Amino acid sequence: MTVSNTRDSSKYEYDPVFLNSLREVKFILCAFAICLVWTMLVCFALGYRAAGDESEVAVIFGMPSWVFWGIFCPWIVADVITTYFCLRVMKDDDLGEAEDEKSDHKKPDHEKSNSGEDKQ
Amino acid sequence: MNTFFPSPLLADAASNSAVITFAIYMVAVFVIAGLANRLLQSKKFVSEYFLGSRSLGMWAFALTFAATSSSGGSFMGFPSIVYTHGWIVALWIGGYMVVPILAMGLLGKRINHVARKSGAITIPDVLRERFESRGFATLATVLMVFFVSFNLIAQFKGGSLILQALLEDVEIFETSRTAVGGFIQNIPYFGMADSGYFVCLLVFAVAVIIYTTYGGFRAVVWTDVMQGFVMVFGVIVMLPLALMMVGGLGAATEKINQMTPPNHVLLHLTLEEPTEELLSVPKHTWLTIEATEENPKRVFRTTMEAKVDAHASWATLVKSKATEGKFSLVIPALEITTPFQVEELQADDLGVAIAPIIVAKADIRSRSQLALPKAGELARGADNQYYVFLENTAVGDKEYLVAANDTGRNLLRAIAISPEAVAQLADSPALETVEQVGDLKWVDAYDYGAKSTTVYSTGPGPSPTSAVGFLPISLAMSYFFMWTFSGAGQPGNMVRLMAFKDSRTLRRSILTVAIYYSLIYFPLVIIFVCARVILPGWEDSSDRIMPEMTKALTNWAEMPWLAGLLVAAPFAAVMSTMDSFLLMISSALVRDVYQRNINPDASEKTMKRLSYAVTICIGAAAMIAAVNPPKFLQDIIIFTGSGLSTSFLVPIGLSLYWPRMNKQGAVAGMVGGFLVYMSLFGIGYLVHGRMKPYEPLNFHPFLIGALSSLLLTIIVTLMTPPPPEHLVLKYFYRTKDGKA
Repeated sequence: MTVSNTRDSSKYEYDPVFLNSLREVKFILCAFAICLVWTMLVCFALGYRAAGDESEVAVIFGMPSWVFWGIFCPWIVADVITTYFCLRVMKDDDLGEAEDEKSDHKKPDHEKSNSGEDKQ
Repeated sequence: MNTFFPSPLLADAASNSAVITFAIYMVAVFVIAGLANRLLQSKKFVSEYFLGSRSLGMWAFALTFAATSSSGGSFMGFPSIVYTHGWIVALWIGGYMVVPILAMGLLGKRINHVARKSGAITIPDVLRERFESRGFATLATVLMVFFVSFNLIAQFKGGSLILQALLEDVEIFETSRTAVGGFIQNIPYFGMADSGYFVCLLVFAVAVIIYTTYGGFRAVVWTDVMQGFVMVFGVIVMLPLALMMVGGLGAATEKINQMTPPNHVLLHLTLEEPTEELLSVPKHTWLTIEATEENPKRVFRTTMEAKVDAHASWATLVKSKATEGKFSLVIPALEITTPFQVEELQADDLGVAIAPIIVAKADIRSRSQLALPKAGELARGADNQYYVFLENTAVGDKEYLVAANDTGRNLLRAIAISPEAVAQLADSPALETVEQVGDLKWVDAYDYGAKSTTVYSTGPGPSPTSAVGFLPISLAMSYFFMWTFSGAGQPGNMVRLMAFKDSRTLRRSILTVAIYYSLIYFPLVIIFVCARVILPGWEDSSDRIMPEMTKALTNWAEMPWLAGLLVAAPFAAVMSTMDSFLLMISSALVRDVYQRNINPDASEKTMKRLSYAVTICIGAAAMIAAVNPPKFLQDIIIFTGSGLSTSFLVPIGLSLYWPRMNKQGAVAGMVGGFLVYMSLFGIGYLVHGRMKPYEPLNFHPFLIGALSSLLLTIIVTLMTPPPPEHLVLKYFYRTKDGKA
């Protein structure tokens, strides 16, 4: 998703939490796509057979080779990517303080101004 | 006899340890609830009761997220699927490799941020504030309560079944069962329930309702942490035991390569020598037809309890739910077809010799256009032999016409139809009708994979009901999408994403959950691939394979006391999901309906009392509904889980990342996704006659529903006016001086 800033740029700027989150989402979707393509291609190529095909199943480390190359390996890689994401990609943003944390009696803005009907 | 069948002594020890473990476990849960309640007194009630004051640290957040996602399905349904379909289930569950990063990372930081900005405590709260729309929030509440209520009932059933398996053969349980059975048998509705199941449901439901009501979100999270550790401990202990018992993973795969799916058959049991007493043949009894010069040995495992009449050696009487309480003359069974297992397995010793005779059957549903003979009618087959039609009988979800006898034996003699009676029937319409039946089946084989070796270690995997196999590649892709995005779209998960205390906690928790899932799901596949080799003949009750495998492993290792600890894992999984759902419905009604719409100025005391009362009432209602629950547990869990995600993922996701998105687009996406999803299940019900979705091109309804939701949201948003400026500024911008 692209972001275009049309507001008064002298007064407002995009919230960095939003921008960082958006950047992180792009990384996450790329990681998802890599794992999806890898898993599906390898499993389909090595693991799927026509009905009645009883030829020998190749085995690596005790498991069918398609499980090793198509599930086990990408799972390890996914864990490595996740580790990299958590340690290097994701930013420590300040998420702010919840309104209910500030005051026991303070209500959300919307409730203070809303008489009960939808505004839009 | 199955060499792995537990001895009574070990089984008793396992049962006792199970009860002790269960008791310790429940005490720990109540202690946690008590501590959580003490904390509750010192915090603002609603925020603390429903969201833990947004202060969850890494372990609490990571394990509550993981444990809530791992429901009873992970420890009952999932092992059952691995057992039934073999290695291909590794691909079915493969999407879990990216669930932590996607389900937590996709929305986590933003939803937490927006919830803090708006003061939202529930998911409808977030939507209300983001779009300033009370109507939209109410719609979200209704959809959420609709799906979660179904799921709650299914989870209650799952928990009770696990508890029942845990307590089976325990004296105090059997005593309670008898007493309660006598008490409820004449009470309408309750009397229809199995007394053992009812006792377990009562114990389980009351425990969950009490600790959830008393401790709120904090108690749910803390018990989730404990339950999370119990689950991973269970898997880590079971994995090496399973591998050692089967002789290593290579040996397991080698054996599973030789395995062929079992056949479903109907047996007629006869006593070779009449006895003075009625003989009981328990469910899951092994029976054999020994090899002759012409025929090889055949091995069967009964799937219902049978009683053989003492004075009429031909008669077999079965009473079961499948035949709606009627006595039946035949008994369904599984026939083991894998040669090495047929050689190893021996018949159980019942004290007398029983001869199983395979009875032919024809599927009535495919022959509804024919005027089939009725039960009890006599007719002549195409081979000029006389046959008696015994009955119509239901086995699982199929209905069969039991048509004739045997493997060489003549049932006509046993049923004592006289030659005169045969002569009288010679011109009857039934005689003509039977000749139309023609191709009676002696066995009911798998639709995909029957008689094929290697089918359990390759795709698409064997299936008893689908001619294209268990997991065609397009369906595998659907599931990959579903596990990941469905996990992100679960309101139960989203609420947890609103509860962690800072970004650092989120980062560390994603990593923790990634490790946690890696330790749970792939090892579970290996364990239950081993179970296929170790415990044959459980296809009819594969939901019980987890406790059965636990018993087998701990008995083999001569550590029966461990069984209690291991069986606590699935129990913990169900509990950790149930308590979350219970609180989710309660928060939807108390916060979103009452406080937001009926009495915005409700006092803290009123909210407190109402929260307690609603949680108890919802729990009690779900418990009563679960007394006679819907039949297909796993189907309901998948239906509700993916239904929630189809309705919520796109509206919530885009509302967090697309400033242009407006209320109209969000409503269209939510309603559109819901309707498409429900339509696919509706069509599926009409086509299949049960709760199975219609899957165009083998794509799961979640994928089609979510895609429809995405398109509708974008199109409707772009066709309608932009959202109010102040909302965009509030949730996507900040002033240059750093203020929100």
